[in-house]
Amino acid sequence: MSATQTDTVTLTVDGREITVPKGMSLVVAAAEHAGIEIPIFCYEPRLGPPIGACRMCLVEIEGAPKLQAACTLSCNDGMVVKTAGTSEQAKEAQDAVLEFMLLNHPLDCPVCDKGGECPLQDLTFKYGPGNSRMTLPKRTYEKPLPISPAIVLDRERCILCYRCTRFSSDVAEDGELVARERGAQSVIATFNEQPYTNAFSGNVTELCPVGALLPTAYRFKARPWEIVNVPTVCTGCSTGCNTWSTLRENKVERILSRNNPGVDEGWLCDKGRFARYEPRDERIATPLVRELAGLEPAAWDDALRAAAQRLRHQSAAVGEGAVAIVTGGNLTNEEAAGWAVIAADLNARTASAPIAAAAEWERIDAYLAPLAAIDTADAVVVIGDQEPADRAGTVELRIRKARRDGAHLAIAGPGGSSLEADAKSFIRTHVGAGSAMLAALTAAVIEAGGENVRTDATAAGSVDTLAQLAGADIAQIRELAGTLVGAQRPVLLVTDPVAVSEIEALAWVLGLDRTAGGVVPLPIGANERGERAVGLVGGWDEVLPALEAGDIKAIVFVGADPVMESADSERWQMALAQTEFVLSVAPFTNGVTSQSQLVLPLDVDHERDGTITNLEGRIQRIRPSLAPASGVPLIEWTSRLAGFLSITTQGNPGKAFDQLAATRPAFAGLSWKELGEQAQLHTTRPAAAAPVGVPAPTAPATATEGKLRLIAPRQLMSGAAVSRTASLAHQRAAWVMISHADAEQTGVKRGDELAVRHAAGEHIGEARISRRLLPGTVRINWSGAAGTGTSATVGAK
Amino acid sequence: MPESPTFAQPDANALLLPFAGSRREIVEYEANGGYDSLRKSLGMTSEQLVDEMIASNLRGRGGAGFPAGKKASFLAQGLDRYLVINGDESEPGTFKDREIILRNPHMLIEGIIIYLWMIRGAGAYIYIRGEYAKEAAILEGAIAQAREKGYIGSPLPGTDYVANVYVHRGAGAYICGEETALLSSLNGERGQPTAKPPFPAVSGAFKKPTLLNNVETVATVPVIIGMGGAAYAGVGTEQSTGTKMFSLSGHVNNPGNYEMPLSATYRDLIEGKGGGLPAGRTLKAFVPGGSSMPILMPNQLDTGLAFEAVVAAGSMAGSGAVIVVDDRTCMVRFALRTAEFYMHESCGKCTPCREGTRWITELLRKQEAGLGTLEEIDLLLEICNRVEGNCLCVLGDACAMPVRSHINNFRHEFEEHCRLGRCPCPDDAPMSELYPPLLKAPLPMVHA
Amino acid sequence: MSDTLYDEIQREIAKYPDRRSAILPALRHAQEHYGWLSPEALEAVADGLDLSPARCLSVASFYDMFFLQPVGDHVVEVCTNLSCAMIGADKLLKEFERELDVKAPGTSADGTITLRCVECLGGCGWGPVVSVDEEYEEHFKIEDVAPLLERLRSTSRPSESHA
Ligand SMILES: Cc1cc2nc3c(=O)[nH]c(=O)nc-3n(C[C@H](O)[C@H](O)[C@H](O)COP(=O)(O)O)c2cc1C
Ligand code: SF4
Ligand code: FES
Repeated sequence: MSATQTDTVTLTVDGREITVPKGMSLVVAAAEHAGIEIPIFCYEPRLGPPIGACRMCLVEIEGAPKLQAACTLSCNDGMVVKTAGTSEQAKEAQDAVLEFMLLNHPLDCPVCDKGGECPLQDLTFKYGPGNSRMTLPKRTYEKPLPISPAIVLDRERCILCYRCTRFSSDVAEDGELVARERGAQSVIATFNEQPYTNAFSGNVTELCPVGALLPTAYRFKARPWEIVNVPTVCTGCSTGCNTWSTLRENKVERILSRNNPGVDEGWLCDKGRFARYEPRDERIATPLVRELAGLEPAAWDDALRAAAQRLRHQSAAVGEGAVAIVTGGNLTNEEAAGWAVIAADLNARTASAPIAAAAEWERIDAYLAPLAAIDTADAVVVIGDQEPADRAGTVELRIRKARRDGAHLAIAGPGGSSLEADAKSFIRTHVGAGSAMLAALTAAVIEAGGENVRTDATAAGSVDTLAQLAGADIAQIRELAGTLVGAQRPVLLVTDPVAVSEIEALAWVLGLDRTAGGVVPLPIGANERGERAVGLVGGWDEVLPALEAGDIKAIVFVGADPVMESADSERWQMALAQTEFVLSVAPFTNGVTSQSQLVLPLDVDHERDGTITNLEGRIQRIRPSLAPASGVPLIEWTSRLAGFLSITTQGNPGKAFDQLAATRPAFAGLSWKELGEQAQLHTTRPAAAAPVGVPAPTAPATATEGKLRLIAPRQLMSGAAVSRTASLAHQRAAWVMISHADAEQTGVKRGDELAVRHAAGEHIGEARISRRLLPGTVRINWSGAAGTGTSATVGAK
Repeated sequence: MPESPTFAQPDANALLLPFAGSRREIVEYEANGGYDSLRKSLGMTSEQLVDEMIASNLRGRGGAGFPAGKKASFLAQGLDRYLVINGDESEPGTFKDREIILRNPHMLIEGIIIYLWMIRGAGAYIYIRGEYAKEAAILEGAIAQAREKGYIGSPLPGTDYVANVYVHRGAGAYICGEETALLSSLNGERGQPTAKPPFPAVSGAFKKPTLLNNVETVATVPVIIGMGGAAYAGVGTEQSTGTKMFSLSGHVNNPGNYEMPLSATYRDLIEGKGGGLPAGRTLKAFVPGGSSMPILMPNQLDTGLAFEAVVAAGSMAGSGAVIVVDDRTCMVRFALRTAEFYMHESCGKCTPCREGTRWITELLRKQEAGLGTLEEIDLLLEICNRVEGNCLCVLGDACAMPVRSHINNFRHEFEEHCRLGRCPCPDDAPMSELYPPLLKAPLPMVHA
Repeated sequence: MSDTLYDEIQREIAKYPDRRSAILPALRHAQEHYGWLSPEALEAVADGLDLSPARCLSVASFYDMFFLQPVGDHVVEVCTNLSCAMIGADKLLKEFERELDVKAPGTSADGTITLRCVECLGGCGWGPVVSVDEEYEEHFKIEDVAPLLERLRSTSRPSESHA
């Protein structure tokens, strides 16, 4: 028998022969594959194994005494399936189920936002509701019920397919959205009417097959025939989830996922879905020049000419490094390419990421793993203080899925992050111990040895001393090293800002370049990788000392705001006050615009045309649905600015891209026209090289006597758009997490109001108590940058 | 108040409970040959034990009557395999597992240990319905005694195998008797059934291969190992071997549990053991195997108790709960009370059961109140058809089947309700007041 | 007190390979401690099991024996399923309602006794069956109602909510 014969099964559906891979396909999927429609409600493969709850998909199977749910039935060789299309019995059952569903459904399609996009409506039209023999009073509920400021629930429309609760329990694993009561009284609910706060909550509005869960913002906004859906990519973080933006009357009313299985599997986080740069009339829409009275509008050409003159002057007068161009990893590749040309011409310093080490990320590319590698991983190790989602939203969902599929999930950090509860191992460390933890693990792997281990490498110290430095249990580190050595497809994610060489050392000794796993980098900016690839390299932390020393005379911020987004906020402010020329490009007035002589408008997400490169190196097309607030796209005026500097940059994204393809290795072989809507991954791993030297780990943070160590990593739910989106306010509600031991000692109870005073300010929030958080530390969801590892005090408000 | 509960007189032919009163103490149990079967089984291989069960042809006592030996042979291989004992016993009319636990708990424990040894199980969990608080305590006590004697928690004599047995109490949900719902509940989920496959034999307790049997089934294991499978198969009929506990209730002189050879008939049970109906009453119908089974009529009294005999008569033996209904009983009410139970217990997962049981109940309420129409009697039958066979588990069928049998056998009573616009039965008829437990109805706030 | 409950829950967890399986025993312990499963009680269970409070609510609300509303010091449950109803449970319940002056399900005005009817308790041949604070009273007769209530009124179930 040939391999193909053993690996497939052939069945007959409605008289048609279908061949599908063995053991993999469910009857419902096989039928769909063959273009035969079996109606479904509860079936949704992304939610895990099918549950067969709605019974809409009943089919007749030859030889079976009862009808079977096609969604839970595996295909067998020779199986003969008759759907409602050919089986009277199946048709009758389908009718029956539809009738049962409509017993309670209000049939208010004309006023329902789902109208026109609703499978229940379609089926009812197609098959007609079983005549009006429903003399029962329909169940009535209070409606609509907000389950969060972003989502409303209409229990009367709910058909109890349990898609939303399965998302909550089996995908996001937050367990916040549940069914309560039993039988005919079952309803969808949250605990005690608290808002559904999970960062991925919005997905339930797309999963709901009827109009029971709808985004608040979209209610009564548009009918399906009035809208245009534009395929694009989210620029909220470096994952690059694929989206549709629903446009109506020149406004983005809704963001939907556009399933790209390799990237997002059809999930979005609430930042990508709900955050908007609004209101639009507060946007910076023209160039602004600082006059005595403040920033005043100026004509484009005057502003650009002035900018060019000032920059050229400093560069010519002072020389190399007198100008700095600071970006935040958020430009498109094409926009960034223009600024890279300008920077080169001005002999300017560049900085595209908060930390310098980012410039060396290419060395990690030898171990670079695509996002899909997490799915198939047999071990996933997350090291650091931060939650992976705070760096890359939907990556968290992949990590959870890998764990459910049996991967050994290990979390090393100070505790209190949401992945720990179900992790196979949780190794508690000091705050900011990522570096030490990596070194300890590297040493333990060398000690353990094994087929794939490069034991010729040297460790930074003994396992004991390094474990002690990390504050971690040595036995646990050895055990994890053993797991990693035995793993065939391990994936490593580091959320602490550590030096690349420390990750590289572990990847090298583990031989991650040879295995199917690898390192999934977690850049901070959405297009950090792309900006680097076009030549904008360097870190903010390298620019700041030079600025303070007065070496930098003119500085340009393009979509970067270290005053708001860096823990060194005050130092930036002081240094900028002494800098001769500050130019900022921003969507709204912000931390740097107030210290700028010249301010230029920045385009945001749905206004931009071009490409961005996600964390795995996938180059994806983003498309505009709106014109920029200023009317002039950034890439276009950048090119005009270049003109005033007597150089040329491409003002058209397509041309700019093709030029990149011709000149930059990361873009080689690609062309603007062929990018397509679902970008493929083109990265190839360069050969790994032995790391240069063994890095000495940086010591974890310690707190001043009598104070707590602060953990305040940048949150996923932060940034200019999030802070302007009212329906996300509940996601940002401030909390303060302290350890159970500290709470016992101080008598703090869950829900108490606590105030945390730290170097960057005061944070007042609701007390959360964690049994895993390291005593002596406090974790907060501060929306700015507060300097993790520094000291803080906690007290009653 | 009379002693509660009162047990039936001992029966010399009984295999499970051939004695009067109870033997809760391990010393009493051992003095009567208890744990001998366990010792015997320790000299047997897993295969030999399974073969013995197959030879006995014991059919599961939980309701479906699936051959126990065959089920044991299906258990998937694996390091962690579990044994789960179904003590949820919630089918209306059924109270037999409870009597086994009250009177002879060690027989169950011994059966569990033999089965655990047979599968080299990582542990056994007795899922007992939450309301059986006293029975749960008795089992805990029996486990503690067995632990002291070294049957549990330390290596069994001559082996390095350690049996672990735990009691897991439910919390009030009939559906948790259905095996996959029971496992969901044990796994910490809402007690809702799951689609099969995967079968419990592959993924059950804690998502591991699991052998699941009813209390009575497992309590019979020591009998079978003691007397030999072939000898056990000599009792009863060819297809339904051994003795089985029958729970007799309703309008009968001597209600209670009776252990009967499966070769006996319903007449032997109701008229023989049960002493027939109270004076002056006549038999109207009887429920042959729990309230989910179609009722049988007086002319079917000679039907055998054996699984195959009841099927031939148009119903099912189910859990062996026999409810006797006398001539004064209103069958519309009987149908309504039956349907209400299943509506109350529907887990709410699948559409036809959740909505169908509610619709059936609402229509029956109208019928009982005399507000129904003749067309609605047919509609009721049609809804029963639309529920049956279309649900995720058979709870929906458990509502549809009996109601259909009530209508088909007593249609004239339904029609009379419609015609009169009220229930024709006198005020002192059984069930003259209907008290359906409300669906988790909110209780009024406590004052003060 | 919450630490006692936490420890009890941890002991239950130790009986299972997966902590989730301890949810029913954990909820039962919490109900014993708090008298009913108040939001606070559910949060304590969630803490002990490392699960979301909503999940604990979801599971608790599925089962009839968990109270999501306050109940009296004593809970009297009358089985009104077929076998018991056919031999007089309906009249028995009526008598309870009359004596307590409350409709089932409900709690007497003095807050001492909650009355409700329940489905088959598994005592059908020994009926009518009444469950009093989870203890069965069988062959229960109308004459037994008043003495039982008298006995209950004179004892108060120790529960935190009334302490
Ligand atoms: C709705 C429903 C309720 C059930 N209740 C019980 C029960 O209370 N006790 C029981 O042992 N089996 C019950 N069963 C049968 C179980 O699913 C299962 O078949 C049985 O426990 C297997 O044990 P056995 O093979 O030893 O009979 C029920 C089945 C259904 C569909
Ligand atoms: S995960 Fe990142 S890229 Fe995806 S939707 Fe969320 S913010 Fe956008
Ligand atoms: S789609 Fe198959 S049961 Fe819902």
